[in-house]
Amino acid sequence: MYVIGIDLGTSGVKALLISENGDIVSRAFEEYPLYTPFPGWSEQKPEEWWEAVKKVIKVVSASVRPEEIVAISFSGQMHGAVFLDKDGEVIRPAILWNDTRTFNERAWITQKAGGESNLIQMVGNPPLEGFTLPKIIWLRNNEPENFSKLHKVLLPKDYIVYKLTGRMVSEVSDAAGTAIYDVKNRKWSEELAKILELDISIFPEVIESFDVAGKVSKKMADEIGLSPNTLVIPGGADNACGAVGNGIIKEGLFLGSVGTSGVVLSPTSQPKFDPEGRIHFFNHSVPNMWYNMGVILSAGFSLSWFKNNFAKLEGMVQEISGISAYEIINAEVEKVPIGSEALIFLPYLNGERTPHKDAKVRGAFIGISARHTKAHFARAVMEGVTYALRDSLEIMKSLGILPVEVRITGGGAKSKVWQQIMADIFKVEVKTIQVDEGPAFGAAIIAAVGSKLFNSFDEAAEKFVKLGKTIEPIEKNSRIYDELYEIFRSLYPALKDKYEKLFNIAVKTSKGDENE
Amino acid sequence: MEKKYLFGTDIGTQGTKTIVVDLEGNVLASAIRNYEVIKPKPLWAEQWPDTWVKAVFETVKEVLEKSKVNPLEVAGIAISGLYGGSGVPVDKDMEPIRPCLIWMDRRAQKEVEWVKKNVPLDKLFEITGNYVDSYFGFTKIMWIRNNEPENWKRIYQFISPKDYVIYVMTGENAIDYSSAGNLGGVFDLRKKYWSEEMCKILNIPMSMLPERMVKSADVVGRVTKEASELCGLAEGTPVIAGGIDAPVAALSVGVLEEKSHVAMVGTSTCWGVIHRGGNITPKLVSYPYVAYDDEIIYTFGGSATTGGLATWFRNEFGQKELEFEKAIGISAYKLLEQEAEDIPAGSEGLIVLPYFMGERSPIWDPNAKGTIIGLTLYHTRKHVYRAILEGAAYALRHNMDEGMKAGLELAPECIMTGGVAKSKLWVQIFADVTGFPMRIPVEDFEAPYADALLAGVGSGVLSSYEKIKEWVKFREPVKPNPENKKIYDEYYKEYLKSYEALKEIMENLSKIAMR
Repeated sequence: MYVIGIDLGTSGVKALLISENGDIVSRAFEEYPLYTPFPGWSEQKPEEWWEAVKKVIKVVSASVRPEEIVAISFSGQMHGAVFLDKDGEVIRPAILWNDTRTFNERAWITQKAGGESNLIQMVGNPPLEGFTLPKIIWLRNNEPENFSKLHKVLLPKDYIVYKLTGRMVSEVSDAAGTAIYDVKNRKWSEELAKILELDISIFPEVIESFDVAGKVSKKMADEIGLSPNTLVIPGGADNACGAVGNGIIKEGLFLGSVGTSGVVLSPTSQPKFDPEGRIHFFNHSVPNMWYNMGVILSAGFSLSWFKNNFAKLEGMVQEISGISAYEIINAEVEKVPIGSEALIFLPYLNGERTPHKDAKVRGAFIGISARHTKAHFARAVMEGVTYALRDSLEIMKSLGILPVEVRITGGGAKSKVWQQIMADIFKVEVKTIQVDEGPAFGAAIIAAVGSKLFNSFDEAAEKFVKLGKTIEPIEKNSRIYDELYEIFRSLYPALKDKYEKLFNIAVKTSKGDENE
Repeated sequence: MEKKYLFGTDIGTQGTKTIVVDLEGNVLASAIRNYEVIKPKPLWAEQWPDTWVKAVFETVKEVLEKSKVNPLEVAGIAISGLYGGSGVPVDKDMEPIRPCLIWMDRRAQKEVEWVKKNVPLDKLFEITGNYVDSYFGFTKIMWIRNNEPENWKRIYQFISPKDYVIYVMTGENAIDYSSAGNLGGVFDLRKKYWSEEMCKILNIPMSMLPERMVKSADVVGRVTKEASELCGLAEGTPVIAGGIDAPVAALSVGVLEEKSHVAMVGTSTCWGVIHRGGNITPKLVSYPYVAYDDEIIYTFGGSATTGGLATWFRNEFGQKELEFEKAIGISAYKLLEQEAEDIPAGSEGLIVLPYFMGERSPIWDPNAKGTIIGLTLYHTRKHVYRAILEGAAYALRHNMDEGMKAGLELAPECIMTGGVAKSKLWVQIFADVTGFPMRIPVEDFEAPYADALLAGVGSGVLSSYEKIKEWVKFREPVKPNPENKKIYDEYYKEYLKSYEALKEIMENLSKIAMR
């Protein structure tokens, strides 16, 4: 028996065919374009997603018989709005999670609802520009023609479920990212819809991530090589699936991801959330669970920026010898004392989301002395990124969600020295994952649970998730990091105004200005 | 025989340089000996005086040989030097007891705290014209007293480095006004002599300070027979007092008019202005100048790292450029500078606080730290390099501003000397940030050149100090770009505020780093 897990991402779609033992049998990837018709806009065509999805399904299912594929499930980019008319046709291109055109709508919603904290009480999160709700209001304000045709708003992966089954349905983890789904009470917020004068019927029915949405329609089954008995399970939001794929399904287990951006995510069995909205609060794909999530914008990005600009010799060595510049940097960093001899990096190279929600904040190196070397700087970058992740972890702790184990993924998790830094700064056992396949793997687990190959997520995770090594925190290191983390925390408040002014002066005096 | 040659020697921290010039200021030969600073612990910096004696004797000898000047035609030699910090502690037989704590040494932190707690600072300032910091020599004398009682018992006097060498050369013990003033704490700036009152308050016996105080152009003594054999100068050659290297270097570029100011930008920056003493500030350091010693005061300030910043950056982040330098001979600095030229003033929103070694004036904060703020993914290495050059220039402006705030007047142009003055971009940034055109001498012979002048004035073969104006030639001044100045005015405000915002945090970081 096999299941298919599909991740509908922003750059493309990835599919995995997985056996009931958790072995990956085949994989496929297909790209699609991203459209930016105006600065700050970010759109994709749902029809192009669908074409790509069909292709990858065909590729991964080719090696087995259709009847052997018991279920298919999805992980999807969150927050995107797919606008459908009453015939189920796409009205206009989908507006994506990273689209920021809705600045005014965000402000309007917040004001209408009586402030951010009211919204957080109503639905669990403030309506960030990227979230779905402001996009719908934007459509109403700016494209009334299109809005008048609007029958249903679907999330990206739900559109694919609709194309496969003919059913318009969503599930809890993705609905959570709309900013109009009451995350705590697990239902659309009629209260907020009323305040904003939105017809609540534009939102689809919401089921659980692992519920059966339907079967592959006969017509589709023939076209793409699946069986009409293959179950379609909606799956979850990419972050929820990422967590499931790493077995992060119980309170106490944390996910620490250091990719381009960085994520700290932890499930909770009670609706515990930050009243200040500094971290996101969403429904998990696992029954009756939620999760909190903090996002830092420049995690691995900080190190690659540092490498490209300040480790040019290492880059040259890589070109000549083929030894990766990161490997050389890691070896250099190993020799630097814990805490980089009190050199601190603030990783706000692209503004910051968690916990500051501040687009104007900037990066910094603080505490430089003449004896600091390049290796100190590289280590400070790793430590600074990890302090920034700890900010999210601390907020979660303050909500009573205590970490027992942090499982780490992403490029940063491959560095041995960074693994130890994470254990020491988080002050908790850190574990690596053997198979780092991302959210598609989690979608496959949801498919396996939804199709009853396993009785529970626990059972599925037991079989599918293969842990790597365990890194214990070293207490004397943690003591140093605790002190430096306190200083790290004091830097943002100390420099906040300076950043704002610098930002404004820089806009005036930077090269770009000459063209105006 | 006609006396037509002058010797000038400067004892620096890293080396000693001697030159010989004729009466028209032409340099005929020069010689350098380098040596190391002993750093047994962080913040400590010491040197044995024998190192200096050896370097002075050897360079004098080498210059005589190279120039083929007849020793009998030498009118005199003057010696300037680093300030000695504590001075060389010697016993009754004028034998050194322990190495000299030099200016770089910052170990006297507890003594500084003690002074701040127990001495009214306005009184200290009123008498000495200076404040307290572990930079000043008197705190280092107190450190020896508090920490080395066995040595303290044997100490007869503290002799400044160049005065120690002059003693070995002549058998005469004296100190010039600038060196005495630079001890701080125990020197009465108005009376121009040791302050009995302050010596009592600080518990430094006045007998430990040389009794004979002379002008920088005064003859201290004459070369003895023994010294003559070692250095090659004729027995009886006049030895002139000289002074502290910084004001002597200022004199070497013709600083003689009130309000004249000069920024010596090398590894560190030393910016100074001369005046009649009406307006001084405890944020800067003041002591008698080395010409017109009894009328003119030299007030200076300076950041601990300037060229040092560029060297550090090149060594850490310009390793690729260093490889190119080795392979094809283009200076790595030049390569880094070329990149940074393309970046607009203000480095598109970066500010560097250049306190990589703590900071001297005007903030006097040993715990201050280097800082780069305003980074985004858009910024590249060239932005950061330019921001470092700008940070050094903000530090210079900070010192000038403190002087002007106290009422010191500055001439409309600033003279600039030192290794950093060779960087076209950096000099332009200094001009743009401070708003002063920068005048750079065609040739920069530094302190030994003015030592030669002092030797000439002291021995009587030169009629006056003003002769230096005929010796020195300048290039066209580098003028500030008014548009950049406007931009830098805005950044400079944020520069000042950034330090204020981070001061306490830097102190905490220092504590952690010390552990």
